[in-house]
Amino acid sequence: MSAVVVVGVDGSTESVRALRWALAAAAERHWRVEVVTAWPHTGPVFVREVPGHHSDARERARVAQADALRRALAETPAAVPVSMVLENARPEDALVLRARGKQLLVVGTSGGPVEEHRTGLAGRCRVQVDCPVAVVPADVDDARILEPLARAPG
Amino acid sequence: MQAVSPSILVAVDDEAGPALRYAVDAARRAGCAVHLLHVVVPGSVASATGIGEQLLHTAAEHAEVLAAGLAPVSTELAHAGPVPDVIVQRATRARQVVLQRRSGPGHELTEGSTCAEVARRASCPVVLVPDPQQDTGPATGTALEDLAGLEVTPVGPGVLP
Repeated sequence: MSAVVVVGVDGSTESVRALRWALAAAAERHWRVEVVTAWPHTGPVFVREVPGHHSDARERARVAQADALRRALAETPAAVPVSMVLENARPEDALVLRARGKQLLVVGTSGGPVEEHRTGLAGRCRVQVDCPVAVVPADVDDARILEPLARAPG
Repeated sequence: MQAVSPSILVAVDDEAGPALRYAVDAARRAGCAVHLLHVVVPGSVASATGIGEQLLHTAAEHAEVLAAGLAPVSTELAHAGPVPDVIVQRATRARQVVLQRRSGPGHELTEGSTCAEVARRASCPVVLVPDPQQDTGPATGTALEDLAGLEVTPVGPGVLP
């Protein structure tokens, strides 16, 4: 069983960039990637599920997740196994749980106020996750993402 | 061995054991150098420079052993501050920044401010390494579909309450 890179994806540009970096990092190490999308979410794509009723929120999350993966792979064609996870939970709770015992958690960031970084998704993951946490900035240049793929076999 | 790409920067404070190991391993995989940075903030006690030099010397020796000749090791003692500003500035030339995540009494405030600041402002990916690091088996899943030529496996249902 190979090691796993867990990456949080909500469909945003920042999360796609984090996914690209996660794919490249996994290719470099011959690891697997686990794409985790949590819903409900505060982002525009997701809405809160109505208990007991069918909601298309999960389907929208699934579509957003698949679209994010397609976008990431179009720009970062890494030959690594990818697992897709949908969790009906707060993103930080889902990521902390899924990252337990894994080798690396990757989250994106768009900068923002420092307090948000301490208390937001990246901050909570940074404090609570027991594996290394990689925070990928939205404006990281392609050379830093694609360089590992130039060396990765296959 | 010649460094052909930006180095991996690791901040060394008192004992950056897991972070140093992560950084050297990443540098070996990337075929790049690992750069050890220790920051002495202006106004520190006079002995800070000597302590910093010794920290870097010890860490560099450890890194050289871990690198086994596969990743060049360099060191830098910076007299500047605040610490996050120095790391963020050096990150402009780095491929990746690796920081030791501290926990426990006496570390929460400084760790939080440095890690949060660097992760928020750095222009390259920042990896925060805990201590100690768990190493257990990954979760499993079942194959369902193939996306863009990859093995794509949905895992579920969720195990959250």
